[in-house]
Amino acid sequence: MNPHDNTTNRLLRRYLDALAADPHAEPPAGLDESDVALARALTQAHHSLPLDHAQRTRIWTRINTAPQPRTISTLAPPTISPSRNGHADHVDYHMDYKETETMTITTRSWPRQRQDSRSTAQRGLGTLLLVTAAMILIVAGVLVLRGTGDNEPTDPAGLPGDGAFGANQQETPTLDITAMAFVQQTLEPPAQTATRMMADAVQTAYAEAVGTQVALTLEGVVGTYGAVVGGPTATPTPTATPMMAVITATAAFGGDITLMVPLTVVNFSLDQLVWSPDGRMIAGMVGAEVWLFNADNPDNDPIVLTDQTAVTALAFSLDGRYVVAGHEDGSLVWWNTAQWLIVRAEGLNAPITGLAFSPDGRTLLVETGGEVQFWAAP
Amino acid sequence: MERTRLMVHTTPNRCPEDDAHTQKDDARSLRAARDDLAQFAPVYERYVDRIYAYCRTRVGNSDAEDVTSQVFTQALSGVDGYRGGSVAAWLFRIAHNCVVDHLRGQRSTVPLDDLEWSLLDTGRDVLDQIALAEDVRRVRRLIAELPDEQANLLALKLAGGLNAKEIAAAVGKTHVAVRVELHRIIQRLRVAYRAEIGEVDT
Repeated sequence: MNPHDNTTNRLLRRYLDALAADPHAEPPAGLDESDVALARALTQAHHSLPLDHAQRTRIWTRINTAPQPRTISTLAPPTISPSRNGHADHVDYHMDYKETETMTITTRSWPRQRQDSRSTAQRGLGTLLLVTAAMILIVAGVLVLRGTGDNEPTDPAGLPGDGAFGANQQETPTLDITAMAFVQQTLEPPAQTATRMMADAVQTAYAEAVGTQVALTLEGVVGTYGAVVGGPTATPTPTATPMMAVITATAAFGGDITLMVPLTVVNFSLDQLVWSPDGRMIAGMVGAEVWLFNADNPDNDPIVLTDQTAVTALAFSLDGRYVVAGHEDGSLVWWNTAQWLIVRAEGLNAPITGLAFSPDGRTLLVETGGEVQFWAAP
Repeated sequence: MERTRLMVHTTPNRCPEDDAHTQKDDARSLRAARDDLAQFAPVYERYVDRIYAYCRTRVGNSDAEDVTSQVFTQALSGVDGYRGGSVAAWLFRIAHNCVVDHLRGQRSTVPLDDLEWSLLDTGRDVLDQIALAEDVRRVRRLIAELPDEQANLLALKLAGGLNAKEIAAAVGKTHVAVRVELHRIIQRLRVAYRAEIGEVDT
């Protein structure tokens, strides 16, 4: 079996995950004896027996007798940094989960909200366009909701912006949501202070619209935040496939929670998408391809730029003339946006993991193999 | 030898109770610990094994307890700095920094031949155990040849039980970069392992 085979590598990684959860997990089909032995040896090599009571007590005693408090530099306050390609996952996050087990939620149509966000984004927030749009939407959502004087919306027809989603409340579609852009939580007494929630803490978000009920479950590295059950609501129609929707949730104890959730578009997640500087296009990575959507109508067929190896980073040049793609094999490819042709290609030694243009657009930062290189833009 | 039937007697690095509810409990405990340090105890109980496993992999048996206690001491004193998100990622970020501090100025002291036979499944055939032990030694040699950063990512994944997002948060990379790097590490180990056992690539 070819050790360079990506499929087998994936199988091996999956088997390692399975072994971490269950040491007796059976290997998936497709792994040969050597791969199975390697996976088991790797798992075993990293394994430690659980600490016994004496060890736990000993460590705990040391902790309790250590001088307190101490300042640690690793826990600096989160920041929003327009680094690299401005992906949402470059935004450190605050998250202060409040005890909101049950919330009533309603949906708002994407197109109206998106127009609002784009007009704001175009005022010049550069590579953070998408995140900014999310924030504006959230604030707008909260304001509109409050403007109705109804913290527990029950009639979708009475909510502005229901538009497309509210057209047919009898449908019972299911929406798959692959990533969460931003979550804003505004809590009022008796809740505590308003908090901001994560940008990329959530790996996946999943929403279901069943009848007049909507359940929202957010799953990610911090786990499920809570099932959100409520209704009746405007029912999102899966055929509309908007890029984003705003789901406004009202906490059971009276606070408002606005959730900003991108819906599935060919299985993109937010960290794979970048806006063009003029806000007219959205580029996404799919394997060895770059997909370009018309931002005004993302349902239209995208432009697909195909290359040899997986795309791992994307950036638009600030003048909008180029889309730069970084690849898993270290190739750095410049596509012009006029004819969608490769006008320049470089070969670097390691996978490219991040791209960002300098504010003046003359320099491209390329993160590869743990280092950042400076390239002159054409 | 029927390697595919080799089993190891271990407890999962990723606790089965690692569900969302517990994560919320952890976050709640951390916040409560700001006012009452005793509330930190449940977090300690839940993560100490994984943190210890990671530290042991990175710094060796003799210093693992010491570094583990440093991790939790720093976590406790810095609990005000917890801003939400994955508690595991937050703790392992501290652990990663503690390990880096510990290793700074010295080479890793992890011995390659300290395989704990007690880890192996005693219910299995002795020959199977011997084969597994040999494989583990072989793999440890290969890991020792990895760049430190790669060995660290592997330890966070396999000893710490973190997923790519958590690793990314712990080491300050993007999760895409982490995934790409893990892919390369596995590929490198596969090639090296096959060369070790004399298997010819096809």
